[in-house]
Amino acid sequence: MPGEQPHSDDRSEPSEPALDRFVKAGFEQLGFEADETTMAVIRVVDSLYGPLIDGLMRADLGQVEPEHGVDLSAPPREVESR
Amino acid sequence: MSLLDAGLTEQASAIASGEADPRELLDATLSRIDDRKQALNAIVDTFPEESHRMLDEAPRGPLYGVPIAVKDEWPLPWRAERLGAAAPLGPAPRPGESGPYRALRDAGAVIVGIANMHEYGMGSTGAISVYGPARNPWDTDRCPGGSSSGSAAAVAGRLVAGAVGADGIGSIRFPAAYCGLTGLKPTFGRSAMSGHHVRHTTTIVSGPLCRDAADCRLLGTALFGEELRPLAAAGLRIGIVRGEVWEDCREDVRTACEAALEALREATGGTMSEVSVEGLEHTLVCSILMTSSEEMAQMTPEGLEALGDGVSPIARAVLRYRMLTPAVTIARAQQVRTLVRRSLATVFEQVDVLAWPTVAAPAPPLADPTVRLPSGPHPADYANPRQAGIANLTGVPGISIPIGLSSEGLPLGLQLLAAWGRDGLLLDAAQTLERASDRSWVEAVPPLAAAA
Repeated sequence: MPGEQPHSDDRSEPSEPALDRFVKAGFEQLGFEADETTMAVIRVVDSLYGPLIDGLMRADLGQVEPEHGVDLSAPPREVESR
Repeated sequence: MSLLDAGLTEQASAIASGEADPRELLDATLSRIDDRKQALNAIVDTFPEESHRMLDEAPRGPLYGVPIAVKDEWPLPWRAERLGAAAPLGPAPRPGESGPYRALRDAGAVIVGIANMHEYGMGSTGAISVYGPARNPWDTDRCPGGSSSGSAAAVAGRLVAGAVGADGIGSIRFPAAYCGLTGLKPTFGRSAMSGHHVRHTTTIVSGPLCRDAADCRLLGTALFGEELRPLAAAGLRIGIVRGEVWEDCREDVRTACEAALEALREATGGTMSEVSVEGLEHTLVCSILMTSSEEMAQMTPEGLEALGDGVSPIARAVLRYRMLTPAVTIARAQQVRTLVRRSLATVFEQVDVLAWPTVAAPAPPLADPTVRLPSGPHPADYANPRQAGIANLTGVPGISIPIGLSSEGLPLGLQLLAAWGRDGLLLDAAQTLERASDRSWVEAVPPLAAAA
């Protein structure tokens, strides 16, 4: 479920959806074949997760201060030391 | 009742007291696995010689002589993991002493078989596996849940009393809910994990799938390497988060979970209040981004291209598509992780546990793993991670507790989350809820096991 770009339609080239062009170009770089079965699966995946990726890309996260030395077995340190 | 049908604690005590012969239990377990193989396909490999050798050499630990199944996700000294798939994702796996193997061996347990799993752990239903799907003992046409599908089906089907699963985005909790079991996703880093194929994971943990909280405590103690002592869950402060995790669930699921929570509140003399978690709406996609990118880190395009025809078309397509994930989404998922961790830390100063349904609907059919929710029909693989991903993204522990049956006779599960390191509290709460319901749901027997 890569990014927001493939999810949005590119109306300048209606013959092939943006997602298909993005995937085929990427696959060509990586040496993968983009057969119809693969593309069909990817379209379903994108229809489910594309909107969530869009939401993530547009979320205002600029105010989130970094958590240094993250330890996932414990709460964030600044909270722990309150 | 045969010792085969007893829970883990009961099996361990009967052996420890000399009432039961562990060799007889092991042989009976192997026979039952064989007898129910066709119906459940839960255990995909047994190795009687190695199991007997483990028993011969077993120390008198807390699980002495008790047969346990392990998900096909870790190597054993005599067998490499296959991840329920036809081909490895990275370098060819090799047999070895994984963390769960050592933990079980040191506790005196006997590994009796390898549990089926959803292919590469990439699904919440168990519907796809190179071995064929495991089946739900409550209805063998239904999904057992995934990705620890065989672990849950084996315990619910009374093949073993305890199994080790792995949870990267709910993979212990979903099958526990679908099969009517108690499943604990430990705090990140607390349970044995070495030898896992995703070496740099920040989301995946091993954990127990058993019938009740006491059994999970016993198996969890072995996996944690430290005792999870029971405490009274008195005055439990329960937090409710309104939103999709409650509202977009099937009505019977919501109603059963609300009733169970009220019973828990009453039994503990506790309180229930609404709280909110910042960034919750992003946890589904961010947990998937983190887990999948860490798994992809060990793969090469050449390796993916070389996956044979035995790998499902879905896995082949999704894995290749993941290679195109923009780096910025991973960076943003990290930011969300930070945001949600801070928010949870604040929330867990106000409440002891957060609660919502483990899954939005009971087990869907294997032939069509779609769930019908208020927002419409969705693949279960879309609806389920929404309920569970937050625990993996942030590291907090979570548990699924059986709380009833649907009108179709399928198990329903309630999920509780607690602050980092409070795994024991989740077991205490589960045990309190068991008592409050007269242990009705933890002792409910699936038709397949009851008919035998």
